Amino acid sequence: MSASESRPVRIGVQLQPQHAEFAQIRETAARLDDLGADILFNWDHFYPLSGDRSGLHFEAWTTLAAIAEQTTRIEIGTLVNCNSYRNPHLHADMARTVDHISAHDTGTGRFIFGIGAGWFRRDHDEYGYEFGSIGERLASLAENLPLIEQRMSALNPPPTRRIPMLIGGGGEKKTLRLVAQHADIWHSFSNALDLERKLPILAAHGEAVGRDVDEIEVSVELDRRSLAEVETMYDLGARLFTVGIDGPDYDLAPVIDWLAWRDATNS
Amino acid sequence: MTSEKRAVRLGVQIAPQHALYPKIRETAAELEEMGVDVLFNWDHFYPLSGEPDGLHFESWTMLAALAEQTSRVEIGALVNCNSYRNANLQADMARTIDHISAKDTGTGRFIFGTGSGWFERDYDAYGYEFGTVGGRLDALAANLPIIEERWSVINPAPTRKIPVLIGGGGEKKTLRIVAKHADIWHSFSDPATLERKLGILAEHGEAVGRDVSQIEISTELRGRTTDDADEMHALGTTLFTLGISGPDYDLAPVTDWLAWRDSKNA
Repeated sequence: MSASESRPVRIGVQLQPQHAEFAQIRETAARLDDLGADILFNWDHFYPLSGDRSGLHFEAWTTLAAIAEQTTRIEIGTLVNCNSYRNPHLHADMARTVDHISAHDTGTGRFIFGIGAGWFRRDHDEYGYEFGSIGERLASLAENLPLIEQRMSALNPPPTRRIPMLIGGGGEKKTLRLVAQHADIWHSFSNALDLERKLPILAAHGEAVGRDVDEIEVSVELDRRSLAEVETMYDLGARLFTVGIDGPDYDLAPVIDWLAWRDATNS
Repeated sequence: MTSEKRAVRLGVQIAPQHALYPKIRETAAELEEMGVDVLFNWDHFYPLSGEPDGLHFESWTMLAALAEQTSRVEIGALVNCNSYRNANLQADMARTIDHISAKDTGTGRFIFGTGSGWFERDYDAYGYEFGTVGGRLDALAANLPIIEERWSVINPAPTRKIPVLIGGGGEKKTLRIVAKHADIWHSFSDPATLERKLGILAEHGEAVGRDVSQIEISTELRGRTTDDADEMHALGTTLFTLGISGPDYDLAPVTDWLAWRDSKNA
């Protein structure tokens, strides 16, 4: 059995940091930890991505650090962090610090470093970052990933574990090449058809750069997918399934359903 | 004078160096329990004393975790380096930690301590341009209005007016920035230096139309006697900071200075 086939199904819940007060975020994080969700994600933006665009919104990394302190079991990370918003060495230092915070007294951290090239123009314009072109943002991500890896290997203390690197995006030429080079987890919003097409492209990149892409955990979003389509994606090799929940209510009903599906599939 | 009515407060700077995180967490809990008023860390990437390549942690993620962990003590960096993050992002992080720290009280405990930056090794190793001290101070002066503006538009708004602490003793530029923007001015002055600089700060206040008695004066205690501290208190200092370092974070001097604080406030 290949590495990807033997991996268990995991459910990641993206707790969208919008339209909610922090107390609701904290309470939802506690419930997700209790429910047995595998990973708690947020995202790295400055404004809501849906609903009232000037609604409530919180910053990604400080929120994750607080959740790392609060929780004890669930893994945590951004889905995804935007490469543009902070210096790569600082990114590595923050990731390693949250890794240590999340370890509590177990000695093993729970941080996943999710990263992408960035795309939300409003964030860039309002906070004064240069938006540039998609090609430039991807080139910057390609340049920064080795710096992040290098910094991780030089930091004292080192991370408590090899911090899993999740790269988000489906671009077939540049993004999937970066995934083949650097990722432990590849995340996209692909449907089953897209996934079927992209996985061989990823494998070809793997061959080109000398990486066994079977080592890479494949992650896809569950929102708006039927059970049949999800099972097709499972058969194609996806093992991490993410579901977004939105404030202020953070409805956990779909999470509970997908956790039951996870448990049935893994049993 | 407003400063005479202020209670004496003790801030302890947990230097995020030479210790693993569980030790930092435990120290924070003990300091809160002891009744310290403010927990500070600092914003660097390498130790500032002892083994130069020793253990070290990042400032803002640590502050967010401390905000979640604690329930009473105020928290902040002594100080954040203005060069390392976009101004609007700094404001967003500060406001987020303010909300984290509010827990269910509705009122946050975050203090935004900032300065222009000085530790060249941080800049060089992480790839920031070090530039000149003048250039870094100009950047701080340019960013503070951006940070204030972001706080006025961000949703949700901060739970309180986040106190701005500015660190540094430069008489021309830094103290002018303090007069314009600070709720707290921090320096490592000895009593004689403090007396001179307070006069200069008052002049800057006059020049920019700010009543500087609104500004809380903060001074470091390390290496000072209680006579020095009494003298600085008489000059107007009400926030006293004490740095402690890993791996041991000796709390004995904290106990002594807390007793001194309580005697001043009695």
